[in-house]
Amino acid sequence: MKNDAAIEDLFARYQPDLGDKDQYMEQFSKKLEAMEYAKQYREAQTKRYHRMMVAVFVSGIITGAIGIVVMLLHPLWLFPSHEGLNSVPVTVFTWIPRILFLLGICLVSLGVTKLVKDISESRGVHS
Amino acid sequence: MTKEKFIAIISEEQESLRRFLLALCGGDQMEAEDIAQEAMIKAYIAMDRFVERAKFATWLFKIVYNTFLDHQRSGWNRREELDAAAQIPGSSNADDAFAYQDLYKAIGTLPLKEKSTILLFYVSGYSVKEIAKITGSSSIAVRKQLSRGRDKLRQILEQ
Repeated sequence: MKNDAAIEDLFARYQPDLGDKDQYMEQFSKKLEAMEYAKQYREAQTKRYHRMMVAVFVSGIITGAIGIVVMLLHPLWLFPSHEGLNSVPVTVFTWIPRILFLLGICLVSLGVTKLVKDISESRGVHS
Repeated sequence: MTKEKFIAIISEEQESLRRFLLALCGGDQMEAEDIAQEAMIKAYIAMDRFVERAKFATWLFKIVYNTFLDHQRSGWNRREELDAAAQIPGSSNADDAFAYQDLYKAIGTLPLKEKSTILLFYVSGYSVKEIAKITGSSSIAVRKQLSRGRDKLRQILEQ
């Protein structure tokens, strides 16, 4: 421990000017506030994405179930026997309702997803 | 821990923390301030993980030390540039850097581990056990680093 006094003295004299403490803390608090805001925004966005994912999943299951029910109830409508339906105009005619049905399912899915998205966003704006 | 409590503790610790970082960065005020801000924000984010039984200052210094190491690894060190900047007269920072030039020079000759240990011991006033927690070394290793650091500093001061 000899000559430790010289080392201790070297560090004891070390008092650098760090500026005004209050001003520093004020700036730091402002930074924390900004960060807190960003953190809350990110958390809200993550929650919104989760809600949307759940909505898409649920609407997928519901529309899938509707599709299966329709297929089981009207198998011949969706998968008709082509006997006697070989002419092109008739084939096209029978496909139209099916395509419309599938489009309807897609639109319902999109509608549900958009609805949930809009609700989430309006909540995000007000929160 | 609440935000208000965090700010209150930071308010108490910030001077010691910034003094330690300034010496660790060899008087490079910009780098020291950057690391201090980054570390304090990291601490705020990780605040929920802080165990109340532990000493907050030790936990905070551990984050500061690790942030400094990250900066070192990412090649942030711009000491040469700042050494040149410190020569410019007029600003209080430059005057400060000049006033403590001997200390920065002496500390700058030490390897990182010894430098950190010496500064934590003499500038921040931590015990060997606390330094071991902050730097992630054993108490025996910290004692060795302190002893080696002191020997080197003594030699420099005698010159």
